[in-house]
Amino acid sequence: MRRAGRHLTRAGPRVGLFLALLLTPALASAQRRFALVAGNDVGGADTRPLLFASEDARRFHAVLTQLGGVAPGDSDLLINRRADELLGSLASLESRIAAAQSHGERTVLIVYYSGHAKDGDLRLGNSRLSFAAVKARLAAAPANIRVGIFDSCHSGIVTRGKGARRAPAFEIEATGSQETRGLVLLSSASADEEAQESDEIGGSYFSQYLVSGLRGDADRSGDRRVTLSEAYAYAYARTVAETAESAAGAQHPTFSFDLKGNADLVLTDLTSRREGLYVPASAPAGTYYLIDASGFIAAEVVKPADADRQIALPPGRYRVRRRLADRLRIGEIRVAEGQLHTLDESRLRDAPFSDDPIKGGRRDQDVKLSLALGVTVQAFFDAPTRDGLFPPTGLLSAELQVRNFFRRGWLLALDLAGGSARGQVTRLDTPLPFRFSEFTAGMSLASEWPLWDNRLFPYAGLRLAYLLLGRKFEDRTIPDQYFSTFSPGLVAGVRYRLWGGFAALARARAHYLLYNVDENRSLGYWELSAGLSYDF
Amino acid sequence: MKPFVPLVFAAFSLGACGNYSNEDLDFQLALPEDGELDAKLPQALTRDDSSEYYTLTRKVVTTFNGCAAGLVSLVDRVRSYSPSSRNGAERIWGPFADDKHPGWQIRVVMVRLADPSVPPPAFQISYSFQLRDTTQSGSAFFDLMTGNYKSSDSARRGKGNMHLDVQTARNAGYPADDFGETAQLDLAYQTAQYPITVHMEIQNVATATDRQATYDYAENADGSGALVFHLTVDSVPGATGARDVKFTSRWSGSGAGRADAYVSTGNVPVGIDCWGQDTVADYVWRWNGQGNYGSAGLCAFGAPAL
Repeated sequence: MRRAGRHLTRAGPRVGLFLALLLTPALASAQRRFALVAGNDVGGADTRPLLFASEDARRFHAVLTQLGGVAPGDSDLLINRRADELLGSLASLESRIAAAQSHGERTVLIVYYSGHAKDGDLRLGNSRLSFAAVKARLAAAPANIRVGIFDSCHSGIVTRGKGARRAPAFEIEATGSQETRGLVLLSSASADEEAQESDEIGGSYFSQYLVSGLRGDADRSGDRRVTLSEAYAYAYARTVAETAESAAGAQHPTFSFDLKGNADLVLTDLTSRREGLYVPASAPAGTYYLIDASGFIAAEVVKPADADRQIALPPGRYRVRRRLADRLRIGEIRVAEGQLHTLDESRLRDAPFSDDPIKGGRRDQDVKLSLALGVTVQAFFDAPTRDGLFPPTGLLSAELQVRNFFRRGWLLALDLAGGSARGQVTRLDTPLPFRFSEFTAGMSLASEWPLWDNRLFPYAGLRLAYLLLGRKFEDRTIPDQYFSTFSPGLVAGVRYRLWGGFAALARARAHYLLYNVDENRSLGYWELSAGLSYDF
Repeated sequence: MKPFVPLVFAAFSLGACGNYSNEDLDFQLALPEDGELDAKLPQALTRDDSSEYYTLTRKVVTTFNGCAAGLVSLVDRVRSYSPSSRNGAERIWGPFADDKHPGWQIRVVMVRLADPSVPPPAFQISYSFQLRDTTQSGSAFFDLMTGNYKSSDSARRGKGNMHLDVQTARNAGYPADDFGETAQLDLAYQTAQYPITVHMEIQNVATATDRQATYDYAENADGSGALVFHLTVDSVPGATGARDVKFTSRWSGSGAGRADAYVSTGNVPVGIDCWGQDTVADYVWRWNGQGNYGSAGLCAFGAPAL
């Protein structure tokens, strides 16, 4: 399990005692690298959808393919997929690794997972995959070096056993061999901790700092290469520090290894891509946040006094923020293709805290808009009302649905519907047939639960409708009648994703209606709808 | 919890409005429809050679229907519009400004009466068409017309009566020019079963030549009917001392008919016409012998019971 929320968690307790590394880095160029990167926002029953697991996976995949020496063709990015799909992808990579090794290539396999985990299992939608099985699979994989990175609650279970550590850095014992080979496992949280996400940084703490470190901020040696141990040490320190004051408590990443050899693993080579940001030694010390167009932190640079820093960034525009005690220093930079942008402190300006460009805006990207069209049947519960006042009616409806607007998993819907029916009221054996017409406008707020690997979405919530009901009598000597009112109700339904952006809808509503023309009467009506929606 | 319920009702009552009412239908059904109280002659046309009394019957029917329609039209607003206010068993339409008479207001008040002899869902409803002079401060509404309706087994079939008091309106200063010399008009009808009957009495102002007129109309299921017209006048031309004219016309569903005219209080016959389906006279008798022809045996009806 991983905790989703505003200030969110993914790992364990005390800072360990180890310090980083001793080994001679192994060049990425000497190896062929394969990566399986999986992110799953949904963890099935008894879990709440995560906000950023899939986004974490995308960012990790991006840094591996941009700076980590992983060719796009040698990587699989799996978003919200099932366990069998993950295993299938892993099997495919293993066979390619075996083929590469048969040609004499040294190979590295990196498996990254971001998502829910609970009771010793990774939770991929409604499917499960035990940590033990994944660990065994990695241990048996044909690659020379296998790296497993698990960003999920209680993921420290995977590092239990030989070499498990909960410390800011790990040490790989040299055995005399020049070629490092074996297994390294990293977890974002210890076995008894929850991994935390943050709306502010738009990701999990651990993955955010891991990626930020891999982009260059973890390069403590200054050799323009970020090793596994540097990245871990950086992510560990930042994760513990940033989660120390959170409601869930500090989160402690862990690691374990079973390695032979004396070379540390270089995860990213910053010289492979020139574009990025250079913070010169003359710039003030502090933490520089680089904020992408979505308003979330793309990377951080912790700059010490009298030292420079460089971080690799994809081309694009970024806002820069540095926080002082009483104000912010903010500015904007543009990282051009192949260009290293040098930060000019004089081009930053003072700004109040209210102008903080970090808005937690990644949420906006999750907002989904759908248009649904359907048919509805409506009838009042009370038979006399149904027979002589408001007859059962068929309606054509259109509904605009906004998901994740107020918060993830919430559905806001605005709907319009219209229809008509024939009815008859009998007054003292005098039948008076009429044409009944109805127009409704409604607003619903519901909570939605994804099931079946994000294909089925049951939802339930509240609705407030405005109804305009009217009837025209065939006897034109009787004036037309109308009634309008607001009507609160409950709504429950299910959405089933079909293909592309299309989904089938089925919905039931139950409403209260106060009728007050002849007398005050509390009435109720139900609606059943079916329709088709399209996600934009 | 208890205070919560009225709050909920209040909140949704604020947003609820309209005239969607089944009970309003009873009020609207209680009023006679335009044409419902009309006398109906089977033939719609007259010919140049139509019987004189048939032609006279048509004229009386036209007058009768016009009076009934005028009375019914006063409360047409009830059918044209929904009530302006509802208060239990009472419905009020208006007040509206009287477009033809600036300074006057009109309203219609209808009340559903609790009558043990009319158990629900049958109903009895009284109504009044009221006027008010808005130029007079503190003036109250007064009745120009009142009515009452008691339904039978059907909402639209029953017994009713209407009373028009034009004289009171005139006395109050209302420019009752639409009502001619009429002082009062009473109408009683029964539509619950055949024969449908309508009784109408018109009392004119004292200065009018025609003092009073009475109509009695009956309509049978087979289309046959009768209309008795009784007129009180200052004098009957050609009948010295006579004060009353009584005209009894009857017709069958096929259109053949008979009309008898009498003068004075002694029911003295002064003329008889019998006509066939073509409205042409088969038998004519006049008290002075002028124009008599045919045989009384050709008549569809015998002499009326007086």
